[in-house]
Amino acid sequence: MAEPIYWRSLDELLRQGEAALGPGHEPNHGHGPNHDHGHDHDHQHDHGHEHPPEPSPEPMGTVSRRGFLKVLGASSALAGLEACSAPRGKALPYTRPPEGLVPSQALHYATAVNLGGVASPLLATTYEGRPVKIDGNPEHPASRGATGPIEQALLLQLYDPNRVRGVRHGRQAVSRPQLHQILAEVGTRLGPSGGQGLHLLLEPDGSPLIEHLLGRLQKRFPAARIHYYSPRARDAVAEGSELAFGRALEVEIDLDRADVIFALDDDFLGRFPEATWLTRQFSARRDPAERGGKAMNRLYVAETNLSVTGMMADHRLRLRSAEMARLAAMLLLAVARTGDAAMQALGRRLAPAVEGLVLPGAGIQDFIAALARDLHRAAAGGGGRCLVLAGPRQPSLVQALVQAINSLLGVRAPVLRFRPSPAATGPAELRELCTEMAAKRVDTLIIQAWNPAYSTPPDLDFAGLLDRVPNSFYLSLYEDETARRTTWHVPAAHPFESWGDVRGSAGAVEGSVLLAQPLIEPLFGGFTTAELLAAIAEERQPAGLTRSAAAALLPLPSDRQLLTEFWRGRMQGLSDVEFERQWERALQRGYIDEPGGPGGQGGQARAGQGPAARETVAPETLAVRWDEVVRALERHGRQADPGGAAEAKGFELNFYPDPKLLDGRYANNAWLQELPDPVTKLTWGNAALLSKKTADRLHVENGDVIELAAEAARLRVPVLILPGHADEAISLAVGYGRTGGEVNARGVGANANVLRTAAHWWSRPHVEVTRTGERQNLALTQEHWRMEGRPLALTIGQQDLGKLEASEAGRRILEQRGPLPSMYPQVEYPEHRWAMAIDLSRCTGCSACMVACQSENNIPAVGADGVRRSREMHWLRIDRYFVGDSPDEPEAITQPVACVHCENAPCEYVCPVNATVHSDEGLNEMVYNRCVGTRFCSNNCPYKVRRFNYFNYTGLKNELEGLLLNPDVTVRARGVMEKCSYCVQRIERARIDARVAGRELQDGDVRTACQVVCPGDAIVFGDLNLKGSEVAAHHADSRRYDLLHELNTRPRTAYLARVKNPNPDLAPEAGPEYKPTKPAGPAPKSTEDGVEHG
Amino acid sequence: MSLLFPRWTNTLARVTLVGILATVAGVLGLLFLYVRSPYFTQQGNPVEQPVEFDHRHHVADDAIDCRYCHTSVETSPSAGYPSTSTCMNCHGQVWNKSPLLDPVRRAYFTDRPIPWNRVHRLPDYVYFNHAIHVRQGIGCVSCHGRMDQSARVAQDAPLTMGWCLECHREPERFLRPREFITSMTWAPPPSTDQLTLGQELKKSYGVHTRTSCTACHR
Repeated sequence: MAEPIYWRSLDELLRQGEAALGPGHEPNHGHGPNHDHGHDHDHQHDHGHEHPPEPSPEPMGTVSRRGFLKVLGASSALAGLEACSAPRGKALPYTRPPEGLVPSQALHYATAVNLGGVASPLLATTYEGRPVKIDGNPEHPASRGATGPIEQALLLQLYDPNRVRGVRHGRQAVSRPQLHQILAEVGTRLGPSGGQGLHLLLEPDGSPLIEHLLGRLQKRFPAARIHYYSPRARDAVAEGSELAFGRALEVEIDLDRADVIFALDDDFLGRFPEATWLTRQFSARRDPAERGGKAMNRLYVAETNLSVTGMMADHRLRLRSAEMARLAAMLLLAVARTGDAAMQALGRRLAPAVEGLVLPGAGIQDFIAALARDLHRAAAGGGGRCLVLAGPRQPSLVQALVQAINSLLGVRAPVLRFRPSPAATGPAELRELCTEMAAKRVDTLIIQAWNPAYSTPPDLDFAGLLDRVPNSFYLSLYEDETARRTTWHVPAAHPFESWGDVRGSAGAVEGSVLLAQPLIEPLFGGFTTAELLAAIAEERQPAGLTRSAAAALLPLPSDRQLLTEFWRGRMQGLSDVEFERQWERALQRGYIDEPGGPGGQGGQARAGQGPAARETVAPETLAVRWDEVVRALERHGRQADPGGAAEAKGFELNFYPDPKLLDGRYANNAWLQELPDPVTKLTWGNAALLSKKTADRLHVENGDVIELAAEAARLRVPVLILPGHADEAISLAVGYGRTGGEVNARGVGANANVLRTAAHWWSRPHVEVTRTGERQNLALTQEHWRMEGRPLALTIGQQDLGKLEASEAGRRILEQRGPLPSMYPQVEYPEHRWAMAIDLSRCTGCSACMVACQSENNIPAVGADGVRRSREMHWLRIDRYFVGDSPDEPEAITQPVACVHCENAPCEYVCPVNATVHSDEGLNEMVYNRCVGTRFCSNNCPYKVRRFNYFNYTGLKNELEGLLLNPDVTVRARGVMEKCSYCVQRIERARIDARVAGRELQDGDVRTACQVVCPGDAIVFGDLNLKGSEVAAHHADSRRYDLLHELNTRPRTAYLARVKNPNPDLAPEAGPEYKPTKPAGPAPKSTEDGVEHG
Repeated sequence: MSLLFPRWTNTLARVTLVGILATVAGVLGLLFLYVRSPYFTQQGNPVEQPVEFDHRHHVADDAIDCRYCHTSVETSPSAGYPSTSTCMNCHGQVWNKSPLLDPVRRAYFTDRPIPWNRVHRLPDYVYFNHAIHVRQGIGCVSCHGRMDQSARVAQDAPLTMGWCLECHREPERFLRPREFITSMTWAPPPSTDQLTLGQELKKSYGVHTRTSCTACHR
């Protein structure tokens, strides 16, 4: 039986192959990927050396000789002053203390943000009015404390010194009252014509207040036009259900009760904020029954690019995006043919249309057949406990086919529900606005949608057409590409500075609205969308006042007034006192029940955003229009190019929203830029992702810059080979290559939008690729501190769980735990034994924990150059390994690794100054003030989790950025080693709080930052000495193993092996092989012993 | 050939060598002493304040409990500086025309905080928590000295790590019953002595003083 091979990059896989050939065999340096082009650090590794690359000789920044001497002189002069005692400083107490505020004690506020149209419930921690940490709202059922990386990183955006600080008209600064006056004048000018020429470009945000204000605006200006534009448009979903059911519908899913899931190009686990609740539902079904869990689900994925969802798949098929429709058609036919007599009759009807669409390859046929049987099996269990999903990138035909399959299988609520589709928000919707702008019929354009000059398809030429609009107002946080082309730029209030409401989306409480409350006064006097709309919607000219006097004298209603008055109006029949009471309660828990439930008030609002959107449609009430579906299939069969012809005409280029930057709006956020992509581990930039086979065909390797060309558009972008990517296709993340005024965003990555058109928004066929001969050094965290091919992230098949000794995978788990002989005396920990457990079966690699750690522990970002030198500071990293011997069809597994707090810690033995020591509770402590920076500890750490602070990152921050720092954690200086402390500040806080309250610490009192936000509940922390604690149960789990167990470091962090739930029909030897290119080798998986054919 | 150097220069060389070593050691020793001395720790060095506030008067003459002004001492890491409104609770009624209280009234009515000068300042990497110390029976006077005798407040304790550890190693030497926490004059009753009482209190209060680094440095 072959040991499974774990690899983190292709270089590593190939080197392992060479190592197997024996020491005398030298790799061919002439052609192989080991051929070194100089800078790429990937290539500087040689046969398993784990040293990071040599730093290049040039200094970090450019410090001139003169500058250096200046600093030297100043510091020696100042050194003399240090002899005096540190200044004691001032203490400024409140004149009147705010109610409920206790100095140095945190206050928590429930709030919410809207991420491109989907609401996320949040809980903010503030100290003395200064928000320092964002978690999910534990009282909200969609979150239960968890949240995604973006929501947490919004905190950094709040304190971003790059934000615009005032209203601008060209280069001229405009005061707030002046802007009010200008907006009032717009109203009076356009009023007589009913708002002819007034256009609004908004982002759908599901806010009842905005809806209400738009209704008022339309009452005043009936001819005004409202356009919606969103980077997460789900227009295809609506069109697909229109095709299938004759009704535009949006899909709502609940994975909790789906036993078999097939995701067709749908990265539902990687798309935040939905992923917060979808991951929790999904992960709850990945934890086998040991601790009272539910039966495991099974996930099938077909996709082009390897995604977070694809890494969790039990079976995965890689296909070009254009082939997805064929796959869906094949599955529909297979599902029909495997069903009862009525379904088989339907199958006969479908067969002629599908026949021409069948994809070649025995692997695909087997995959489809096994999947269809599995879906039927799950559906037969009652209530249709299976689900087929299509991602929003797929066209309407795929969406329709998928809904037809769900309908055939009888998938019903709660697994699947529909609701009336909101307004279309895709690029096609902008066409009308652009025509109006081109015809100069737009007099005033108010833009609230994020940066349309950058984010809209270039063929619409939105940016160019903006010049034809005489009055354009743009509300945004930064002076970006659009701000430079509009006549008025209005600073937006950050979500954490605003009052607002957002209608809860899928997964939220039915009929509830999330409330957003500010955590801090607007730092730069920004406007909220509601304030801006109210300024236009209202005629504010009481009798006896001139227009300008009215604008100057009457302050506009604040967002708080607007919100409370609106809700007071909605909750009719309540006394003021009762309203106040209910309102306070709603603000406290973060959401409010919509009065009257679905279909309440405010129905006058247009654009489908109305409360009617809450109405749900049961799937069983919808009938598939089979004639339409068959006709659409036939149409597709005629259009689709014959197999193989696509290759001759170039490559398929796929675009996907960046998991961190979305459409680019978070590009100035250093936490998100430096957060490694969950799949590629790329930071600070994007790259053309392609398969090994495609790369070989193009004769390119990692870091080679290629030029993508489609018609006149050209884009240069570096290559990154991604195992598991479909052949003959390229994927490119959007959101990079920004040219606005944001310092961190500028010049990072390549702007994929250049190659997009309104018609080819998510996928563009026939893209020419040429090599440029240039190279670019990618900032990858992938190969840093890798762990040398030991059994690290373990997997086991569900069928082997009961009898670990019986299978290879089980024996590997058994080998990696249990006591080992030691020469050191056993240390007793009588009081607490803090420990952590990480369940790999529940971890999707979404990276929310990494941002939580960064925020909690004041961890700096080091920049692209720092990452290239392996100097990133994340205390918690997520390793991503590939499993299997094929670079094309790997399994992927993610593993969060932070300091594991060894009981026999190798770092402690080598520190010459006792800067890293053991506490009486078993924590491996780092004493920053003793550390002299020898880095011996890091050298001796087998887990490579220690981080060295090479530069004074935090000291360089300005006052504003300093507000972000968590006051409970020391800010480390340059030249000091640091690492995960198990959030010791939280342990000590909880201990003191418990003692002051006169009670013992209980399980759950201490929750680490990473644990709180984990959507999959993969991280558990607690006291091993406490009977019945969750962490003790995890440590006793049959899947538990220790990382690098043979070193006998006795780590306190235990891992639980990931459980796979493969379909016995798809045994590894029959695994899907699309256009097989490799000779049949030994089976990659070692679990086939237990496979039963059934 | 006569000697280039006379014999006594040997002694001179030895003395010089020893002298150099002694000087280096002496300078280092003096530095070590200096950082522990009140010159460095600024113990007993009264700090000037923007308002002529007299603890002596408020504590001894008026017998106001510490916690009336330092409100969060039992619930929070920081004891809390009194807000201006706390001052005005009394001084809205008494001495409400006194010129000495001008800065207080100005602060209150303009809503600008009084910029007090800090007296006790721990380094940023030290996380001291008032609430737990007060709860476990460490009196105010143990660290802050006789505030009822201080006209201007000065730092009483050295606030060095060694000083902290003195108590963390032997808390029984300093523990007192909770009800006498703010008393400036409490002494163990004659029937017992500090060590016996301290041991008893340590047991009944569940005092777990810790000396692990992360107890104070995080």
